Amino acid sequence: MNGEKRSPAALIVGIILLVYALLLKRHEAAAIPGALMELMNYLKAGKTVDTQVGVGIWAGTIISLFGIWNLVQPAMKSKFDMVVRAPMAGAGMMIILAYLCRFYFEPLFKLWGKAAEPALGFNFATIFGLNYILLGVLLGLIWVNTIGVPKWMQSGVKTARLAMKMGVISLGAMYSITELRYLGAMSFTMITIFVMGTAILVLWLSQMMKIARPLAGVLSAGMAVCGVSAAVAAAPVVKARGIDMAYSIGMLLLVGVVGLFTFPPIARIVGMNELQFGAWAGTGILNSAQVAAAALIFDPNTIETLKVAEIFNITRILFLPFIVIILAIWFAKGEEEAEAGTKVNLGRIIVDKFPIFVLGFLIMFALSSTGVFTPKDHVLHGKHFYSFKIDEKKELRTRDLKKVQAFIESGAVTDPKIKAALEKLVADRQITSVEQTDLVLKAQDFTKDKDLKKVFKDADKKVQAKPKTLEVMREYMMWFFAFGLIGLGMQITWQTIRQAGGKAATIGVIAGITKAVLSFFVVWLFIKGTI
Amino acid sequence: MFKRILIATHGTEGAKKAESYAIGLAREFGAEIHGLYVIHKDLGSLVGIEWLHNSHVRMEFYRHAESEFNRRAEEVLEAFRELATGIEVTPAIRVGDPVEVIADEARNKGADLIIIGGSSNGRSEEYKAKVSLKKLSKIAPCPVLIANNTSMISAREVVWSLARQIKN
Repeated sequence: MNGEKRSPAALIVGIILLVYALLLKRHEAAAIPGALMELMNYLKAGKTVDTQVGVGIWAGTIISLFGIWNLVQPAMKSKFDMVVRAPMAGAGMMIILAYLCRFYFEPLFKLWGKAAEPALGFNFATIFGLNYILLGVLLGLIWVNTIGVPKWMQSGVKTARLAMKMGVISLGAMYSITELRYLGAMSFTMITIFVMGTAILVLWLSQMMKIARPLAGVLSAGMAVCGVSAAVAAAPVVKARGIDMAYSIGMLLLVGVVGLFTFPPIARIVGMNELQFGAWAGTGILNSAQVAAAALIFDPNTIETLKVAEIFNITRILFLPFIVIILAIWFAKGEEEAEAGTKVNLGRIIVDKFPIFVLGFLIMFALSSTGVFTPKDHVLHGKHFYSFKIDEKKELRTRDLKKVQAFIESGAVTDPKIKAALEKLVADRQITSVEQTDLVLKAQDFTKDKDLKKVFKDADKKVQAKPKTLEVMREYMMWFFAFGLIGLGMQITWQTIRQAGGKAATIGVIAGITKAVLSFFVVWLFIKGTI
Repeated sequence: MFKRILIATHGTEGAKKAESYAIGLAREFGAEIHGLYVIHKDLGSLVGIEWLHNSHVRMEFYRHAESEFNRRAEEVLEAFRELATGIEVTPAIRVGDPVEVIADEARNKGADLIIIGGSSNGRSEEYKAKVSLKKLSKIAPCPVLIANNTSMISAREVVWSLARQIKN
């Protein structure tokens, strides 16, 4: 703990952030054209200057102020000091790392990937998906396993948990009711089958290999539900021995990490879409943090994959209390002679093990569906928001409209609905409803003319809207996730993974591979189309 | 020659060897034994990647884990005490980096010999951790005896070879 000593760490980190942001701001005003801006241009990160300056100034100011406080008066053991003041330095450092990954490493790898393409025959940056999320996880992972996390950062790294929760809660605002219903039903079916299937498989294997019941219990919860988190919830209930916990957590972490790094490239090679990958990762990857990471590694630019994966993830998390109950009953049965007096308190388990942030997620979703985050005329449809308010800016150019008119007259469109939609487009000069936008997009199938296809796409794009509040929330959400995942990368230690051993390892590998492969085929065969 | 022997044990195969050495030597010299079980500090970060529970669930896990680790430690030390009949054994359980704790404990208790087990080749039922013998030999306040996996030689032989080493 960096508790008792006066630590300058937070102040230093805060000032670094501030200075960087202010430097960028001055460059932006073109006061001093310099090396930093040239680097930005070289990396094609010029567009992100606004965000960089904004986040830098805010975070830098707050962290510096706390830094001064920490320097004048050492952080004590009070709750506020432990939760707010002590983590400042580490949290600031992680923001700096997020900056590095997002604005420097990712563009750098993009350039290198392109540069190496002729020599390698493929772009390694795209195939491996070397985006800032993956680079962040890797950076954290390499950092902790080589130089280790210094003392002044340790309590800051733990705030990653909070950031992950904040990320998932804000994600709640990004769903429409139709999406949630569709994804919810799909995930409920898949997760039920896979959670139950894996739990039974692990328990059966444990019996075959004659593994002690506590170890079998922890392993089955971890393999079936959500990895280390499930193991943590189940261990006290099945009275796991110390070594059982080390064995199974090491195993879960190992299988999870392998999944995290293999799922995205495999999906990219076979050409999965967002929905398919989200469903696969959400079912097949063990640890819930790694699900979010895999989804963002697969697709960091839109949040579609993340949305699918997190619904699966949350469904899985909701299963956790029930699996713990089943394990508790199963375990109590075997231990009857030991302590006949202790009965399983079902109600308490459900209340205790229910992850509260899921409520936050649901509240955000509820708020969002009442429309508080979006202007009144915005409607969410598919991936995008639309606004159909009549506006000159949304109108198509006259020569494009003439093309559409000619297309209608050519009689190529056989579907009367689409024809009507196109006629209305010509009359109004813009799209005016959700149904119409779908029909206009469908009209692309009736022509091979690339220009005409583009006209239809443009017509759709012009009525798309970007609600400001949600855009800002999305930006912050990505920061939460980037921050959280760097921190969680820093918790994947070889020291823990190497505990994996004994029969637990065999069972873990069998169950992990079975789950990953089966869920791949289920997704591949049964989940088609997009959200 | 030896008055206080510190033995660090985990109850594993390698440690069992160390235990026999300690008992043999203690009998030979009429020394007392400090039995030390170190709970590795990294066990605290076992649940690192876990993020979704509230602090209540985490605390429950930590409490459970703590009591389990302590129970195991007590078992190991108790078994050792039973083995060392007629020798005065003071048990101690401490949490930390094994090397640092062993050296520290030896210093505090005024031990004049540290005995630890060598790496065991077989599967161990314990938390796996690298113990840097180099570091231990550097910071230990007294000689360190490493009980390896080769066949037992008589305690006297060991002591003589040790004594020769110390002289040089």
